[in-house]
Amino acid sequence: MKQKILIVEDDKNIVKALTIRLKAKGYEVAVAQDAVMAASVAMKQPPDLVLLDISLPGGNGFVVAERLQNAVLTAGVRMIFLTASKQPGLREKAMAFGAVDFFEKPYEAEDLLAAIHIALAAPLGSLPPMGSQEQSL
Amino acid sequence: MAKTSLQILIVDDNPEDRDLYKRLLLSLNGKYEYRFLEAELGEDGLAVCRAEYPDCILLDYYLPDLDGLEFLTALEGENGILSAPTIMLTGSGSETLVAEAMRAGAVDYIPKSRLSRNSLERAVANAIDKHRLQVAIEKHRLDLEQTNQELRRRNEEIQNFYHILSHELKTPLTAIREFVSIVLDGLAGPVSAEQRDYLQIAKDSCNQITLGLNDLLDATRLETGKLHISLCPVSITQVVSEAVAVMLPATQAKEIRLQQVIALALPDVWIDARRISQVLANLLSNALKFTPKGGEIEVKVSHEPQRPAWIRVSVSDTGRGIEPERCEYVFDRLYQVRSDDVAIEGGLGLGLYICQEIVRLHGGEIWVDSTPDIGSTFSFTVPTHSTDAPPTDERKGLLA
Repeated sequence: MKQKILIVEDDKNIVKALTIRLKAKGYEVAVAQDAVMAASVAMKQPPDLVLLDISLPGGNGFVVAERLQNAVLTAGVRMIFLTASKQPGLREKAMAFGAVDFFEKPYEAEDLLAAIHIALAAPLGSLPPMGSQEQSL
Repeated sequence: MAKTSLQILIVDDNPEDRDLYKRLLLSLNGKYEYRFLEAELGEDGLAVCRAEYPDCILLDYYLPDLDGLEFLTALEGENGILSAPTIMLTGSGSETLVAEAMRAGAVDYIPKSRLSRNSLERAVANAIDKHRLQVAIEKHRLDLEQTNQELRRRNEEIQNFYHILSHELKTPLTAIREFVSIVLDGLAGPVSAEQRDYLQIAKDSCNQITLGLNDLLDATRLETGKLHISLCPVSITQVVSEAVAVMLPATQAKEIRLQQVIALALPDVWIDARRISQVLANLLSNALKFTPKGGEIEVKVSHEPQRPAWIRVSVSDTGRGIEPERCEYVFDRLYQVRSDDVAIEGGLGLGLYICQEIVRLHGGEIWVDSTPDIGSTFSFTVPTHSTDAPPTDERKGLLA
């Protein structure tokens, strides 16, 4: 069965680019373009992994992350944050919200796909905490 | 010429003394015209100050309710530096009293035994001049403080704006870079060798924009003291090797030999690895930029001579070098290489400034040794110990 990835991202072009990459790797893709939709799409069909933008209409990536972690159906879902923001502390915050990885835009697709692959290959709950090998800014 | 009118408050419980001060001042035909306010008690004097704002106070040290020091303390508590200048008068002058009175804010002191027309008027005139200067200085200080606050606020605004600008530019930039990559990676059909070259140029240009935006944010954060580093013990060999590995394809493409020389058995360094990698990447890409085809770049890591707790990292190239008179400016913010050299792309002029500030945040030093047409060596030091020590000055002497 195909593994399902939910893209939570408000920029249509980036959604399109991510979708092309993920489908080429054989993943099933769902999309939500704001924080409210993100939760409802995830509840209907729980994804295996969520790619989360931080700046979103109707909330932000952290609000979505919290909602997903608190809902029974999506608790423990693997999350990778993806942001164009350089505000200090975002990486640490993402880690505190249970992210398995954190990427800045523009991202290197090869690295992002590798991180997704690693995250999905590991059994739930067995992933090392993000940041254990990386220094924060 | 019209005389300046002065309002003098006399606080003295002795009516004869009060009359004496008035007579002395009125008997002079100086540049002032006097009006008098009088109080027998300290508290009454303070009440007059609240209502009338006298220009000068003549204060008897011994009052029935307060002593001179208590009066001064209360006055300053209410008005701060703007309280009227006070001249202390007392029957029994002593050195201790003078010192205490002056410390408590009195501008002058006259023993009643030495009171004369001239001494009193001179004291009043001096006190008022001194007070006016103090008030003027205080006003300037407040103005400066306000200007400073306003500049800080604007700086914050600019910084926020840069963050928004960077975010808003990076979103479309991500789309451009990703779609170029998607085509380049063949996900949209076969790509010819020529098309691949062109797409790679487009992708590299996107990377340059990203670096520029990140430098802009780092520079503003450095200026506002908001760039923080977190130090951890790290293998410098690993940090340097990784930076060299990243740069290798670009140097090979330009037929430049890139090699690293790392001393054996180096201790861990206490650094923010991500930030020191940024410094290395910057120095290496500068070396690449200025070294002609067929040249050499060497990264060397060794103990800092004479300073056992420090490691030196150097990046040497066989590039065009820097004229001695320009060496001291290369780390300046917004410094650009000679603009008449069309072979060299511009850049924001922030890279080496950011390197310098990052190294300084580690307590280390950065400097350059260069010979025109032979090459340059950029070196920096990093600590092998956790330290909050401020940067030392010995290397600055060489740069200055």
